[in-house]
Amino acid sequence: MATREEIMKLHDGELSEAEAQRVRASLSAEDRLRLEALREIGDAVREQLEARAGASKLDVWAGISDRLDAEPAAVVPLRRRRSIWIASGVAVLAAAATAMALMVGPHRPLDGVTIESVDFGESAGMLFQIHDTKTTVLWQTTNEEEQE
Amino acid sequence: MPTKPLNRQGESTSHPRAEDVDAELVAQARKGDKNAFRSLVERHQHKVYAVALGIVKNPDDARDLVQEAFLKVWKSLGSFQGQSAFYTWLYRIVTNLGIDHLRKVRAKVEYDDSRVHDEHDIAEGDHIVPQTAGLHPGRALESKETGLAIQRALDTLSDNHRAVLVMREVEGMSYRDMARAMGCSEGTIMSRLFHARKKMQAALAEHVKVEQMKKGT
Repeated sequence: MATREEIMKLHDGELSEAEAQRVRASLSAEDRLRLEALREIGDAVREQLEARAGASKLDVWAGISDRLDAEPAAVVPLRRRRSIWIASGVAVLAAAATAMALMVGPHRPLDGVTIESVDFGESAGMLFQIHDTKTTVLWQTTNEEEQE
Repeated sequence: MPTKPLNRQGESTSHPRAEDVDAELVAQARKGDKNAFRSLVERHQHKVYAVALGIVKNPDDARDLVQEAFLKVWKSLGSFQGQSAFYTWLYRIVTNLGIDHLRKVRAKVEYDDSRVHDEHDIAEGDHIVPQTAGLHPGRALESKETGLAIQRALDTLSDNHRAVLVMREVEGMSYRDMARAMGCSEGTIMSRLFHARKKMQAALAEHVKVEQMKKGT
């Protein structure tokens, strides 16, 4: 008989292949019914939300197409490099922009600089847009950086 | 990478994998091709809306979140490295926006019952009941009443419980990613997920019981 935690992790794909095999081998008839119940709940939630979303008349493009022109069409990704001068330059810019943000308030255009938090999926970061030069700088925190 | 001709929905005659189509559209959008970006929006808007709707409940808020998410994607395309699938990246963005939204709203809420079931607080012996409600796989919404019952059950969940359920069941996010998105431990995620599922199971069982009573009378 598997534990509650093992059953949940097995259902959610959180076990390694070896662990999953071991747990599958230990499942009782009740455990199998619990797994089936978990699948049923998941199906119900997914189907309901997708059906509700599908029934909505949604035209996201109409809502964002005009706004795209106001956003930077192309940005210069600035990832962490070994060259210390680049890192130093960005750090100085980030520090200056952050200081300005703290003084005036977050997410507001500041004397020619706009700062915005950005989600990159695996990581997060900040976007600094300098209006005069039309320069956009992305500061991305990678997993590697977070671990350091 | 050679590009294949794509129609408005981003499909080519050779029916490539959805992820490959996305990758190609992303590559074109990164060059400033708005038509390619439009195809990405149209390919994913309903699924992203389903995620947003599941997290924030209110349809208007969900629409705003979806728009905001796609704008963020447009602005950040240059930084997308393609290490994860585009849709994974997109769903994380809308999830994080949804969670930020809930945090703002939560400040106005006096009581959130997920706080009662947050940490490693699953009672000894507490378990998912070893019984299904008898819904057919892939056809859970066979009747309108069942759909309404599922929606009602979702609506009664706390924000935290509903969010983890949606992240897991609609997006397929891992415990680790959910914990990062919600700023809590994986143990807390498991606890929230367990309690959310227990409540959904109880609601489904109740619905089936009522339906059976109706048929019996």
